[in-house]
Amino acid sequence: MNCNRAKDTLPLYAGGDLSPIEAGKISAHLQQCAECRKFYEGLANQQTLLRSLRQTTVTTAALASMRQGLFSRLAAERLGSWVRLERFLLIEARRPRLAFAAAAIVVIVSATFFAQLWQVTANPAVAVFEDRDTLRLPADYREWIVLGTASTGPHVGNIYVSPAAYHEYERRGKFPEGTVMVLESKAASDNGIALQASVKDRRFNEGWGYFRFDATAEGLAKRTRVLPESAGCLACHRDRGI
Amino acid sequence: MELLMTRVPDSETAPETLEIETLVRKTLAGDCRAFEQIVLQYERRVMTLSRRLLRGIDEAQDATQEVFLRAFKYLHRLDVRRPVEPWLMRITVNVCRDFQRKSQRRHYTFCEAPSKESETPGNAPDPYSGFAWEQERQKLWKALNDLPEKERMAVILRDVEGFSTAEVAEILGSSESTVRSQICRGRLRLKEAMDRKTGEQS
Repeated sequence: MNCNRAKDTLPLYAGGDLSPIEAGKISAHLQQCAECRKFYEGLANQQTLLRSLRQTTVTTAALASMRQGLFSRLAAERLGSWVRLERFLLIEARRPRLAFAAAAIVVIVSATFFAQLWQVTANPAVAVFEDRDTLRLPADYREWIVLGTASTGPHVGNIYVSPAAYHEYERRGKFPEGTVMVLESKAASDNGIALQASVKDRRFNEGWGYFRFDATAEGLAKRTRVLPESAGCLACHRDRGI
Repeated sequence: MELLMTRVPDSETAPETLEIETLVRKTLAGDCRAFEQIVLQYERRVMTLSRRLLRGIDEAQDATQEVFLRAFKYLHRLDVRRPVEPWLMRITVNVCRDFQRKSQRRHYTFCEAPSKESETPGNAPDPYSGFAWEQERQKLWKALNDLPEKERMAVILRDVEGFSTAEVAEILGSSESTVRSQICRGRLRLKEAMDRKTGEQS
């Protein structure tokens, strides 16, 4: 091995980066050549010096200050659950079947949520009072479920209840608070409609309040006050245990 | 105390990797505390390397934050069966390269030796604490910073940080033979610079 080739590989030899065979050749050359030996010693010293730089590290104070900033930036990063959902979907996207399942769950959950929201805003299942005792006429009662028929005196007619209240009754065996039942009856003698309503409300006697919407020149009254007591209605409710 | 700065021997990495694996999984499941544990475990390593690759402590601080934010963002891409450290070091190198590009655009040429705001870990006596050694070290540090960028990075990672040539290649995203020649040229250039400085002084 000549000196030029040795000098090209001596930096690697000084750092222990040569294979044993290559290193053996260099060692043999160094034993013969004083000039290369001097060059190598300089490199070896430099390696020690470079290694000694490893000892210095950043101060604990600098680390603490860095960490403080980092943790607040991380907290800002974590804001928003949608980001995390997106991340979750991204991870699961490695497994397409799971990603599909996750996406399907998101769609179902949000569809159910919006459907419920729509139901609540579109079909109020509960009675609307204007003040403590004045009930507003339920405008769409004819779209409700017909519970059965009832006859009071000369009148006979259908009893309507809102679908939401009916479903609740099916499920739990009792009507929810605020349920409105409407009895729309026609007298056999004339064509006039009589409308009676009962509202399930704890404020009233035995839990139900009774109302009558009288016919006026413009049709039925839009609002009416609670009746003092209606023996007939009370008896009917009591008989059916509702 | 040297241990604080050198890498953990291979025989000891197994339980550490296992623990990191749990921490990574917990983080991905949304546990914020788990990621903070990862930060605490690697912050000194990351910030020290940033400090060596960049010019000032403030830049190193910003870079370290950026490294962990990127790590947090791309944690799902990490293969937990492999050691985390080279992955973090690779992010650190990339972040520092970005920072260098930015500061070059601002004609940022100031350079200082790291010892001004650094400390020797623990209370172990520094075997090279003699005045002459300290002077040599400062001189070397300056010469190191004057190296061409690629050679500087390779030498810092191999000789100062103590990674193997294969690890340096992985961190820099380059081949082992390229890294070997960069290290070789870097060391040689460093020696020439040091010899020149010694010649100027005498």
